[in-house]
Amino acid sequence: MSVKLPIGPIHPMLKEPINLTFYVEGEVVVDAEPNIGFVHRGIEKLAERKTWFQNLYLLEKVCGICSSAHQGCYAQGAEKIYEKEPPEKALYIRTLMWELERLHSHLLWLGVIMHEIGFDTLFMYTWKDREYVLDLVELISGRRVGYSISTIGGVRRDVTYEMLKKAMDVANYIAERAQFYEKVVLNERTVLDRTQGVGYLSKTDAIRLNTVGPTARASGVRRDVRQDMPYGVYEEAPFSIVVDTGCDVLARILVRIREMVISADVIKWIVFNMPKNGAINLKISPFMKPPENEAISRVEAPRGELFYYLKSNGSLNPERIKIRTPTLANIASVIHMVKGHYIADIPPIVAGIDPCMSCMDRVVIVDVNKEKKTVMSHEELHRYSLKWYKRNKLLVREERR
Amino acid sequence: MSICEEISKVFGDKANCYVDKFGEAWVEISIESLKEVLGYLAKNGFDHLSTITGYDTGEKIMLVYHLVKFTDGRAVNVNVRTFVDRDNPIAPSVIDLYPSALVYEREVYDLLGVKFDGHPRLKRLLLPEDVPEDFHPLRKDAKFE
Repeated sequence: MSVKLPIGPIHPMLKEPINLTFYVEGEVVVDAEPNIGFVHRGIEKLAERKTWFQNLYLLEKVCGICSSAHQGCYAQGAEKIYEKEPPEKALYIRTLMWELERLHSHLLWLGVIMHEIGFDTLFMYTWKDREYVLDLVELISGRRVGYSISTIGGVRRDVTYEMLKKAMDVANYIAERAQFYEKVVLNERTVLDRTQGVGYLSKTDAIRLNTVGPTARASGVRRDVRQDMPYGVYEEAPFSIVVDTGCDVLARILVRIREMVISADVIKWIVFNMPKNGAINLKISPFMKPPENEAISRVEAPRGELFYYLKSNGSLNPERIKIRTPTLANIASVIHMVKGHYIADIPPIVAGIDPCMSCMDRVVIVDVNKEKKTVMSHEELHRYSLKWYKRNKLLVREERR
Repeated sequence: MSICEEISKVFGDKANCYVDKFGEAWVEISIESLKEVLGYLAKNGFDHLSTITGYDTGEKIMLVYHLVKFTDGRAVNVNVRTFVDRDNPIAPSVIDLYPSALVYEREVYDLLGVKFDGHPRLKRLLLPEDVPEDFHPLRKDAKFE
């Protein structure tokens, strides 16, 4: 006798708002079903009507946080379509932006997950640190979000000595802070109680469900597009892939914190190796028609593998653009992870895959048998989950042992 | 042995494999041998289905299964391309081989109207459910009035 508990549709993810229906027995989730597409904007269709260069600015709006990954991935694919190689310096600047984006996305996510489990102090800390990265991004590109840095055949803005100097400072600062966060997470009882053993996803299941990004790496799956199919300057850049075998939400937190340290190292390497002179842009005319081609482009966005399929028909407009975002790939794993967990664990598990902007909006609880309907806002669910955990702290601790 | 040599050895004339100028391997097969080829690839390490791309060529509907095999070094990519009839688009479902196809097949059905035989819950994924059943926006002749 399970009770239906729909979450959504006006939901966490900015690019993919979702309606998750949970089937609960008492406090335990037994099954779940996703239903997505509530702000489907038809970008793939719209992209077919715009020119190759106009699409640069359309596609970066697929996601507000990993906009540079989307634009860079598209530009990388479009360069294959145009059969042009971007200059080396452009690749360095692009990679710098990708890594800065990973830093601020992981910091944002760390704040969100801490907020979900009721640890708002760390939320304030991480979002303050994120401002340093955003200031730097603004200095380089002129904007805090939607940087529009990439273009087909290179990048649009050059970096100066001051920018690189600041990038160095930011990388050093964030690396230091990441170590502090790791210490806090591993020693703070509040965090351990709510994340250890929650949202278990075994390595076999992570591979079977085609999980991508930090979610997969937290289950011990060593997969990273940066290493498996190098792009940008990742071929030369020295970096290691962070893998954790914890398979729970805590492991996902640790993987992302450690990835920030690696990202900071890559940024430092880029600053040291940035070519001093050289063109940043091939200056391709926006009215140049590309030859008939089809290309595939993959990048490792902060949330995992981002996939683009592009096809041209010899005219100014693309014939087909297909986007596969990492959150779509990870949705199946959320369904798998929540099974057997408490309702109060839903927020950290759903937030655990980093679904773009995590903040559950409205929750409807329907009791099928009594036909009673209660509507809970995200705020209420959040409070409910905190209260529930306070009440059942000892019980849960005992069970997880 | 490169992936193309392997595929032509196993499937002979049934599969046409080539590597394009960007280094991507493409396998062209008929819709009847889709399950057979994907089953072989799934057994041989290609355990990651990136996505399924659907594209309306005007005469037929093209489906591409983007597969990845992760190794200790570089990953190996294979893109399996097949065509289905435009007026009666039916393709076999591959969710027994790749559970992640559950979402991707629904997306292709939603936007292009390809019916996947064997899918347990084939309904719209992105568009609202009250959209007319024969409306599939990514078809080249879709009308938006």
